[in-house]
Amino acid sequence: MSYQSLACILSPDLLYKLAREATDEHRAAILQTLELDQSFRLRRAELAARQVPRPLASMVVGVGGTPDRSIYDQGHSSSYIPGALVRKEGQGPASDVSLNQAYDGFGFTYKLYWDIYHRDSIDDQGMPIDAMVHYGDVYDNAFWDGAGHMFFGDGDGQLLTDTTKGLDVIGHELTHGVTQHEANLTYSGQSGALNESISDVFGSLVKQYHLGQSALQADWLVGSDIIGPELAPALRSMKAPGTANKHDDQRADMDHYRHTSTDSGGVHTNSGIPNHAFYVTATTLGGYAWEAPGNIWYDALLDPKVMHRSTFALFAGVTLRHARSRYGATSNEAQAVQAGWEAVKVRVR
Amino acid sequence: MRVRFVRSGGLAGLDLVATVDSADLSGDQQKVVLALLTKDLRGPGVSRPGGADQFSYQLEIQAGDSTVRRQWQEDDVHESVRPLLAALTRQAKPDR
Repeated sequence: MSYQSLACILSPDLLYKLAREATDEHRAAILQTLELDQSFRLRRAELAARQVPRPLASMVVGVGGTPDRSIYDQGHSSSYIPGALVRKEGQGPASDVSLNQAYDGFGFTYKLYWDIYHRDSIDDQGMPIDAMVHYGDVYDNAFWDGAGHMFFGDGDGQLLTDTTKGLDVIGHELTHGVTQHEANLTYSGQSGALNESISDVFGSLVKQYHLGQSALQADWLVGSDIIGPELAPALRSMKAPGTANKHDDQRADMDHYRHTSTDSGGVHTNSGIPNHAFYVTATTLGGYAWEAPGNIWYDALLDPKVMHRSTFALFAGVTLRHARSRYGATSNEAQAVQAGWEAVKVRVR
Repeated sequence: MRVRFVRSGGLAGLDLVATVDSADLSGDQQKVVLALLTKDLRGPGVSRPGGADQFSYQLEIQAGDSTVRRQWQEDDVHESVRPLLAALTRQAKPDR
């Protein structure tokens, strides 16, 4: 992204004074500059406000490109306190398959973010990646705790199995951390569904990038490697939301948006809507989904306009603006983004 | 007493539901149900706003003409309530 620095050289007060004393022609130009100037100042202030304070040391020595992983064995405890540290960055494999899967999965996740989006870990400042494996007793879940840790259960064998087996699941959980450090979308209602969708999108991209799959080769299923017989063959389908398993209640367009009090207002149900918009965008373009579609979605996630209570429509508008900005107003990329949101009946604002 | 249990959320976003008669619960679990009629038992309040994919739980306890509703986020469940929720989870089935 680039800023027109000329628009910010003169103070707003001076520009207003000049505008009052200028000819009609010059006044219009100055007022236009003021409008631009104001939007840049707001944007800069918002960006500054979003920056999490970081230690001086990390600013000096951080060069990026290498994850800092720590994998803990929770020993089936339900405590949030880290268990035994079994594998640190650079150490060889442990004897436990799940711990190694977590280590490798976070390595592949870091690689996508670094190689393609030039992002250095969860906070883009080399934040340590802490995974808590074998969490709980037959615990059929994986989650991000909001405080820098990801927890993985072994599953109950019926709904879910070992959750570290899913590379898209590992990418999904780490992306919740990325979202928290960027748009910080509130985990409830439509913004929560958008939060969930962003995790599904980048979780899928981690898997596709690792496998070298194009958008047309990918299966666009989420969680297919961790499901038990009750949820087979997958948790969700970005290609056809609502069809992934016999209990799948995901929605595919705004006409069927679900209003509910459970699941934080249906965050995993309504996420099918932006999920499918991404799928349509990616498959309309063909090629690798982590390239143009991924870059557009990533740009949108970092855009200051996308914040706590953002709606699908707002996010859609921001993706379209970034598609036009990156690739051109009438580019195939911009048209594919528009087609994506139209397919799910989200009016682009 | 009739106890209706719902677990929602989690990575799968699946609602699990169970309805049981409290007489069918263990003695310890019945004591917790009785306690919940009068007390909103909660954990130490470590709930973090940025978390995602955690479970949430709802209990509806019907005793005579009155109904008491309790709900928790996963990291907000009181230690004494956890075994009851675990037992009900084992009995629960997907809502759809």
